[in-house]
Amino acid sequence: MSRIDLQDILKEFPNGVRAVDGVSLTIDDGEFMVLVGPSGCGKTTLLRCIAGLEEVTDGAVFIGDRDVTDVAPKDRDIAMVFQNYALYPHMTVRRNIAFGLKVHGTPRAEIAARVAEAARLLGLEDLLDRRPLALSGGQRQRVAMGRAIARRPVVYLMDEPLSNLDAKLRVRVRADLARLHEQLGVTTIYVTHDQVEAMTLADRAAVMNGGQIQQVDTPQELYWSPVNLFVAAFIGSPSMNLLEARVEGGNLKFGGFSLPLDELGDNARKLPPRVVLGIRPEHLTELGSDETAPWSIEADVSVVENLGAETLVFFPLDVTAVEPDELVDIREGEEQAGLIAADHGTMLTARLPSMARTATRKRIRLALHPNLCYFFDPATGSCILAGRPRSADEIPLPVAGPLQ
Amino acid sequence: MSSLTLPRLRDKSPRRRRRRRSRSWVLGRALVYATVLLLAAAFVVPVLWGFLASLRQHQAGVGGSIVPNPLHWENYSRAWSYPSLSFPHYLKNTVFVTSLATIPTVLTSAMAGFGFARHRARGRNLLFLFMIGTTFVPFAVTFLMSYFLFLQVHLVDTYWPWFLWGLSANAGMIFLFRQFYMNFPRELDDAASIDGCGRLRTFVQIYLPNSTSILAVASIIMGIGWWGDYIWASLLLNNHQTTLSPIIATGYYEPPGSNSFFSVPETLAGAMMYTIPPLLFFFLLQKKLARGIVTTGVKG
Amino acid sequence: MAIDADAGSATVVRKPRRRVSFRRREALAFYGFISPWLLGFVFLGLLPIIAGFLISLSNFNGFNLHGYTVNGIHHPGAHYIGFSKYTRALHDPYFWQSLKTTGKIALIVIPLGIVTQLGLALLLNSGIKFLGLWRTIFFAAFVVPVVAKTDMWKAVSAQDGGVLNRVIGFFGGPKHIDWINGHPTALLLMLLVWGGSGIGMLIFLAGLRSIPEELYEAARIDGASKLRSFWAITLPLLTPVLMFELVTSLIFVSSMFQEPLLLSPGLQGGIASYVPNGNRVFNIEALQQIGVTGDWGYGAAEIWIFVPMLLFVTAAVFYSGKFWVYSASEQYGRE
Repeated sequence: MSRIDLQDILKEFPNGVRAVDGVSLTIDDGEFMVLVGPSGCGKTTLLRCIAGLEEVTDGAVFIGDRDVTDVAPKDRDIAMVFQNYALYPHMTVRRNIAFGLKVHGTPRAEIAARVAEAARLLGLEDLLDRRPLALSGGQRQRVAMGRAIARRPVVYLMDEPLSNLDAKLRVRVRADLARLHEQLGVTTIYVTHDQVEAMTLADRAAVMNGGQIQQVDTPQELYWSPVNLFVAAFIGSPSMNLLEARVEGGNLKFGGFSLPLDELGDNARKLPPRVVLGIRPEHLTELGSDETAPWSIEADVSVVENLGAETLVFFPLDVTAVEPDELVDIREGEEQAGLIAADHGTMLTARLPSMARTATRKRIRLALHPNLCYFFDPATGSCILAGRPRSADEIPLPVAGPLQ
Repeated sequence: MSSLTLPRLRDKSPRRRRRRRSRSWVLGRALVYATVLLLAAAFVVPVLWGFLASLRQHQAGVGGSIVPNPLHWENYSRAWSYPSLSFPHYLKNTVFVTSLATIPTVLTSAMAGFGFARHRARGRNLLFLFMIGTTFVPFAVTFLMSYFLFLQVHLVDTYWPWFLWGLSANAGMIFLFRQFYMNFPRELDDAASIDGCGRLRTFVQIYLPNSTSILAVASIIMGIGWWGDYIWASLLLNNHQTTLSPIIATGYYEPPGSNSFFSVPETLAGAMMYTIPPLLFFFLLQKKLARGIVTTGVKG
Repeated sequence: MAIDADAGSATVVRKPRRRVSFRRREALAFYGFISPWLLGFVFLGLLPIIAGFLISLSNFNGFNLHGYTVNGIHHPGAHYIGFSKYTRALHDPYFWQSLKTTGKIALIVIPLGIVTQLGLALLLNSGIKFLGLWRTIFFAAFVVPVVAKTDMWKAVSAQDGGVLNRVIGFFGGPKHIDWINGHPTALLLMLLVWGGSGIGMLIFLAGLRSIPEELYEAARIDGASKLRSFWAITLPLLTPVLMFELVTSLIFVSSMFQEPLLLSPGLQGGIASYVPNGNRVFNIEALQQIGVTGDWGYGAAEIWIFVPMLLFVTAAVFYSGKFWVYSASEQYGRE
């Protein structure tokens, strides 16, 4: 039984910073749980608390049914893969993998068997006698994984293991990780800041911010039913467009547009007079000059980014953007063209199929899908209405997978 | 039919280019080399002169021709196998005493450096400052009092003081190791911890094996220092136990039947032989020494 | 806004908090690792200092720790006599003379040494060939044991035929200078600079190497001459290393005593050797009070007057650093 139970974990540092502020979480046997969030959200600290590398200020950690809160890392039956691999530079690959086993007193024959098995699983047979310095980044990463696998622990802990790999390698190793998890079925807790990794690898993901868990759910649920603004804006790339809108006279009004609310049916009654409207860039469809849609908007095209598989169109609207403060860093990382204060209003993003006609147009008409829009309470940030397609037909096609 | 080939650039051979260097640059270089050569000569002269003087006739001064003629190589064999004082015997003592002090020092300094670098504890910073402070106390201040204490506990005429000094590390070396260990990636500690190592095991199996350059530096500095120690050997050890230092200092090479107790050439021969081991040791490891100093970065 | 995601899992009864602190383990490990040094520090470092202070207040003479009887005369054991030794020292012309001598030597050898070390480092850093060879030659002098150093320099400075006199004579000066007796200080200085510059040179070299090349390139583009670059870039950025060397040299000079002893004409007495006045540094004075005269209390008192002086000077040097030492953090501190 390798269930992990976290009860009300609090980790406060001497300078008063609460890196983990009351986290309770249960991870099921064999589950691949991803802790995801922006830098400083506490995910790494939480992982280290589970590992025993940090002492929890309050709360309890259970591995299996054992209370390991006061137990040293080596007795928790865990293995960890570090961001920088932490391979022992003076030992060969073989010794690196075997080291933990040796310290735990595993018999020699058993060690040899496990090392061989790990090497086989990860394709390290030819590298066993090399030193870490003589290996490439990807190879070192595999050795770090081999070290964890050979230990046959009850749970794997991974701290951003892919972030030091180049983009193409990252994709391949991600797939390898998924395959390994399929094969070995060991409970895994995986920390990353990259929501793509979270979405692709997780059985369930915990979105964290400010030391607290915002939402724990399957990737699908996180995408379609975010519980608040933070989760909604964090999941999905490019980020969801968020803007302020008013509900007046049965219409949704923003930026000079007025969209009839009867498209939402009964749900329209749940909306307060002022609301935050969320539209995912991939849920905007381009309208040809002779096409119409129940909800449509029109704008000048500011920037067009042609990515081959898809096209990103940036267009300004005279609306007030909504920025969950903590997300500012992420947005800048995405290099969106002046999301904050363009020369007029706010810049929004649309994600369109590859050969979008806008490539040559100066003005664009876009259709919104009422059932795919999200509505949030501006005061609390919580989600009032989440986009839920009635059927697969409603989701705009074709769009390439998540941006790499 | 126009061809697309570009006009060929004139081939500027490197040799031709170099000749364009300015006059003043060449002059500057010459000056630098001249200065270096001059200084190097000045630095080599004392050793060279000592060597030449060691080959002069027994009881002669350093007068006469610069290079003695004939070269009295027998001074060396005389200094080596002098009947009442055996060089090999004192050489053995010196090696023993030096190792006795150096090896434990290097290890305990590494330990203390590791302790300071990687562990938080109350009083750590205060203790570190104290440690730095000890380097400020002039040696002459404490050494006679230390002698007094050794006298009280009957450790004179034994080799124990060196061992005790060995165990008590050296502030400068601790500082070196601390700097070095502070730059180790912390993840190694974490990985070792998860692999099941306690702190001691982590130190011995992970940190030490990766400290070879600093261990070499520390060994050189401490070893050479102890090899050359004069005052403690002369104070604490009797004639049989003592090291080469006091022997050579007092010019024990009394030529048989003479009334002068200071024969310069043989003494110098002894001094030369005494100097060779540290010099050799240094030559062999000097690359590591220079690199070691760079790694720890003395920036004040 | 935290979401409790484990609703439905069985609640496990929490055990009362029993902190086997990681903090405690870490502190234990810390003290364990420094224990050899700490013990040594207390017994071989602090104890002599305390003993010295106590002795300075007594009439201990090396023999009378406990009372003893000789020829029927009973000599009582050493006892407390207050600060009389201190007052005696303060009126003793030899004491002050030795301090002056030490000061004089320090004032010459420290700047001279630093200039030499820096000069050598600059030469070696100017991109010459066979760097390793020169570095070895200059550092080798440092490696030579003290006793051999002094023997070599005795031969070098020999009155009749020593190479020093030969060279001076070659350039038209007097040919039979008696360095050991007549100019002992000059001899000592030469020996100290020759034998002590090696390590300083290496440290300055490391400091020079750590100055980014781009700074010089930018200066060149700005039109600065080599000399200008030196004053404007090299020196300021070296000030931390300079400070380090300054303080280290200060400590070295204040501890030095073997070289003057070993350079004495005739060395049969060890500590009791005759040291010419020019070289009677403070340490020799105190040492010989103890080792020759046998007045331990007096020697200790002299030492205990000297130490605060030295500490004061060192602190002053440190403090002066505020005005001339470049601190990397300053640059961004005020923005």
